[in-house]
Amino acid sequence: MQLTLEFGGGLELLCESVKIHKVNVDLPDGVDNLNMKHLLSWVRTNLIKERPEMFMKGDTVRPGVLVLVNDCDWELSGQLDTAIEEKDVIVFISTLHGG
Amino acid sequence: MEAIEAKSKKAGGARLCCICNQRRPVLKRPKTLEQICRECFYEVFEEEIHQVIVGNRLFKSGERVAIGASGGKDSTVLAYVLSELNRRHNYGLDLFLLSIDEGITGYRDDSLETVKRNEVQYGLPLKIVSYKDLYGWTMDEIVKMIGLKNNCTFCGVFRRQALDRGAALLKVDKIVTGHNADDIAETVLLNILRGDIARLSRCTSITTGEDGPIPRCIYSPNAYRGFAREFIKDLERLRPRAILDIIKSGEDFRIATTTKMPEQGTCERCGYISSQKWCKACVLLEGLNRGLPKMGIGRSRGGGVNGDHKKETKAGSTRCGWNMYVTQMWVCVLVRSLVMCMSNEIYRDTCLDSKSSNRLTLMANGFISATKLRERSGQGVRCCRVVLRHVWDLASELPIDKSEVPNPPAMPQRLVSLVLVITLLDRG
Repeated sequence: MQLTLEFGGGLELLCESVKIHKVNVDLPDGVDNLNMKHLLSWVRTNLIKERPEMFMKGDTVRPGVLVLVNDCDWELSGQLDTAIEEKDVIVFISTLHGG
Repeated sequence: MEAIEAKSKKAGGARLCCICNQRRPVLKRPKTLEQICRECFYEVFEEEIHQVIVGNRLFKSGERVAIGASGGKDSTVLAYVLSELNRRHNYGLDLFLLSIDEGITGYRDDSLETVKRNEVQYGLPLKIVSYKDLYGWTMDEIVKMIGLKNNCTFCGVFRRQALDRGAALLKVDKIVTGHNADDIAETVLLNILRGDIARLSRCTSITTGEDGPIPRCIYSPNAYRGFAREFIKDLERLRPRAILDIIKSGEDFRIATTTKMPEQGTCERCGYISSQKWCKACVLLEGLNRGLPKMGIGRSRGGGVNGDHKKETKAGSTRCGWNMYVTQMWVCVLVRSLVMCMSNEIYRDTCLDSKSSNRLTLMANGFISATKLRERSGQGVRCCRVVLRHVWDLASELPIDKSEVPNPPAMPQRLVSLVLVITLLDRG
């Protein structure tokens, strides 16, 4: 599945200072529909190169990290349960560093 | 674009913006929990700021106003909103951007670029003032002189004054700075932890003589601050309004009239606001210029430029009011956080996990040590500690795992009455 992932507000530093990643994510075994929960664990394994605790806490993002799915706050689409589809754009912005 | 629109419908569901009922919502406002669209968010956000400006009579027509611009998101939003409102509502303000260059190689390059972009985008003239202009030293030069240890003292003290001094250079009537609610809430908590009520009352007031929330610095990943921030974000997750409530608590704390506050005078050397004979920047500069960079760092007992002055302040202050008042505030915050987390549906859905409750304990301990530092009247402090211990025992009795207790406990009520007891103690 082709997706565009964007990291901002300092989070890009955790993935080699690259802000925009065009990636191809395969469905995990036994999963029919990809959701944010799967995607987060994929990101953690495949994109985050250092200090994963700055990005995630437990199985979700750290409080203070905004998540937008196609320009819409993921709080409106069910957070971890948000279904992800082909060509979706997902943006992660940390609000924890600097004003 | 159409593809995104179509797809977002799945994400946003069939619901529409609570305000215009036309467009799809893109965010949930923590303040009101309303789901609103981009356009309506801008509209209500800008309108609320306009109301605050008008309601507090922040500006007069014809004033020269400097916007403190760091290149970060807060000041960029401020620059946009203020220039927009100035145009829309004819405030008649003469606005410009004021930036501080600390002179740390590589640190400000990006942000100064952003500020220069703001200058073009919003058509606001930009003035960059450097530490070198203001103090004769860049941060790099200071670090070379004193090493990496303690340089935060210099940077922090210099920065706090830099905007005011820069503004004086530009002959402006007012300076505005942009802060977000998270930062203010964090500052409220930090000032409570430090037991600094003088600053607490200043940090939430809308206009001030000096001092904003403490700026962050690349050299100092301040442990205390990070921890307060995480605590706040955790609370927000339990209850989105928590952040605004903490700020409200900060605004509501009024200093008891019996309590003598450190007096604010002016520095004999430069005329800047100072509670001492010389302001901190002047003390630090004196040290640098005399080749004694350690001067003014850490606790100085007697001697030094400000030695005598300190004794006077001490003799003049009241004995007990302080500690009691701080305890009162602290208990209020504890109670508020607890009530917040325990109250009805929030309690049933998401209970405090053990980590958050550990944090509360840590904060209570932090407070106790802060009180220790302020130990002036043994009796008062012992009282405080006993009461606080008590509050804490009560709080720790509260079940933290939601599987254990199905109904919201009646505890908060008892905690609230404790606050009353403490208030009475303070009077007695």
